[in-house]
Amino acid sequence: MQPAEMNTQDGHIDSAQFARIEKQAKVTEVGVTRSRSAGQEIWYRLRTNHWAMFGLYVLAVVIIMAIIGPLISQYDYYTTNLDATNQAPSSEYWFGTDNLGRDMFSRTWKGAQISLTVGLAAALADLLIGVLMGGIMGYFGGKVDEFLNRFSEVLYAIPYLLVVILVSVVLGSNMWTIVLAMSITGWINMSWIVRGQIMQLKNQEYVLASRSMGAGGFHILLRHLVPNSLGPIIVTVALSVPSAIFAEAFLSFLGLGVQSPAASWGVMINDALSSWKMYPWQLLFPAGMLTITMLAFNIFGDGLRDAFDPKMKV
Amino acid sequence: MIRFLLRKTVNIVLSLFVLATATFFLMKAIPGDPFMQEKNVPDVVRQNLIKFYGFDKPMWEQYLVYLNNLIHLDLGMSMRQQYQSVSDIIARSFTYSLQLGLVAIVVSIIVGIAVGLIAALYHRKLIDKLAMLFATLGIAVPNFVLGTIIQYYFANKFRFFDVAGLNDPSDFVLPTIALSVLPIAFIARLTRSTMLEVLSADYIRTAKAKGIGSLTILIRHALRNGLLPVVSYVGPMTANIITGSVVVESIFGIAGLGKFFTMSVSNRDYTLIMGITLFYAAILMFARFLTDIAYALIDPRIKMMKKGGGGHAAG
Repeated sequence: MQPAEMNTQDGHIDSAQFARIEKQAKVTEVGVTRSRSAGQEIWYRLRTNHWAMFGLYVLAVVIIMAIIGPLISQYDYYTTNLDATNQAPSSEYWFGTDNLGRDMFSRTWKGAQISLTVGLAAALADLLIGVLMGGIMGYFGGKVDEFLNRFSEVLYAIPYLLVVILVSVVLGSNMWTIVLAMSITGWINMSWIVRGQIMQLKNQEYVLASRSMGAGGFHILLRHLVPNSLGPIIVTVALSVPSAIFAEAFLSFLGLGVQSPAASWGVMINDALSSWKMYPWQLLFPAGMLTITMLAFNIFGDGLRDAFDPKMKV
Repeated sequence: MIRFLLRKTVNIVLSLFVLATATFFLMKAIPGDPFMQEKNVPDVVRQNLIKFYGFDKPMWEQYLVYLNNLIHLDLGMSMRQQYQSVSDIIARSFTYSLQLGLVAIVVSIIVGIAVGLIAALYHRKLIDKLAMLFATLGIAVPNFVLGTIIQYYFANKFRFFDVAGLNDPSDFVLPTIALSVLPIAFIARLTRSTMLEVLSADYIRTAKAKGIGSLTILIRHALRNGLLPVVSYVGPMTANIITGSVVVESIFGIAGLGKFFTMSVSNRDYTLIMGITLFYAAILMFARFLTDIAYALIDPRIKMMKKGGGGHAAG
C-alpha cells in the first residue's frame, strides 16, 4: 500500500501508474483480502483452488446426470430384454446392456441417484444427530457431558461397518434401512467435533454478553455457537458423504444393499463381477462412476477444509 | 496412567457387552426361527433342533445362557456349518486373516511413511504431485474393484501369481496390495502434512544452523515428531484392514475370517454372524487400546483423555 500513497502525493497519475498499483495490490493480496467478509474469503480461497473446483464441477455433472440421465435414454433401468443381453456399448445402448438386457446407461445414472441419495441422507442424519448431541454435550457440560460422552465412546468402539451389516441383516435391505444403519454410529464423529468447538467457543465474550442480556441456553446454542462452528461441521459432512457411498457399495457387494431391479453402483458391480472378463463394460461404468464420485467428493472436501482453515493448508 | 487404562478397559468391556446384547436381541427380532428355511425337515427333527439350540426356553433365560457362555468364550454352534462350533471356525480361519492382516499392516506403515516422506522432501515438485495423486486415487478406488482388477491382470491373464489361496509367500502379494492401498494413501497424506509442518519448525532450523547433516536431522529430529499422527492412525487402520479383508478374502479365495463372515451373512448363519461380529469388535477395540497406550507413552504432552480417532472404517 505504501507506494500507492506516495504516487498520489505527486499530484498527477497516468495510466502506467494505474497498472503498477494494480500489480502492487496483487502482491499484497493478504492486505486486500482482509477487507472481505469471512464468507467471501472462504469462497475466494475455494474458488482459487483448482483441484477443489474441479471436484465441484465433476460432482455437479454427476448430480445433473443422476437426475436427467435415466430420462435421456430411450430404455428404462428395469425392463429386461432377453434378445439384447450383454450388448457392448453402441449407438443403441450407450453403455451396453447387462446380463438381463437392461440398459446400462439408465442403470448407471439410476445407480448414481441411489448412491448419492444414500450418501447425502446418511450425511444429513449424521449432521442432525451429531450437532444436537455435540451441542448438548459441549454446552451443558458436567454430568450430561460425562454421560453422553461415555455413551458415545462405548458406541464408537463398535466398528461402523459391522453395525451397518448387522442392522441390514435384521431389517432387510432397502435404501432407508441402510441409511438408518449408517446413522446409528455415524453421528459420533460429528458430535465430538461440535463438542470440541463449542467448549472452545462458549467462554468467549460475546456469549457472555448474550447471556447477560438474558438469552436462554438454546438461543445461545443455535444463534451463536452452532453458526460459529460451521466450518468444521461442513467439512465433516462433505467428507462423510463419500464414506456413506462407499459403505453402501460395500453392503451391496455383500448382497445386503438395495435389491434388484433397483440399481446402485455396488449392486451393479456385484452383478458384473462374475462375467466382467467377457463383458468389461458392465464393471467399468459403475466402478468408474463410483471411483470418480468418491474422488470428486474427497478433493472437494479437502479443498473445503483448506478454505475454512488456511492454517491447515500445506 | 492407571486411571486412563482403567477407564479404557471399562469402556471396552461395556462396548462388548452392549454389542453382545444388541446382536442377541437383533437376531431374536428376526421373525421365525432359523430353521424355517429348511424344507422337508420332519417335525420331530425340527423340535429337536430347536431344543438343541435352546430356542424353546424363555427369552431372558436364553439371554443369560448366552452371556454365561460368552464369558466362557463359548460362542455356540454354527447353524449352517455342520458339527462345528463358532469358536473353532474363528480359531481356524483367524490364522489366515491374522497373517494377511499383519503383512498388510506392516506394508502399509512402511510404504505409507516412505511415500509421505518423499513427497514432503520434494514439496511442490513432480514427485510430490504424483505421490499425492496416487494417495487421492488410493482413497477413492474401492478395494473390491481394485482386488478384482489386479487379480484378473496379474493372476488370470499374465499368471504372475496364483489366482486364489494362501499357500506360499507369493500368494500374499495381490491380497496385500488390495488391502493396503487405502491405508497407504492415508498414511502418506498424514506423514506428508505433518512432516511439512515439522520441517519448517524452528528447532529444525536450529539443527541446520548447527551444521548437522540433513539425514541426521531427518531421522533424529523430524521423523520423531512427524510420525506421531501416524501412530494414532494405527487403530483406525486396523479397522480398515479388517473390514477390507472381508471383501479381499472372498475375492482371493482365502479361507479367513472375512470369507466366513460373508458366507454367514449370505446364508443367514446367525450364531456365526454374532460370533464373528463380537470377535472383530474385540480385536478392533484391543488395537485401539494399544494405540492409545502407545500414543500416550510417545507423546507426554497428551493428556490421558479420549482421542478423537480417524472416523469411519471406510475412511
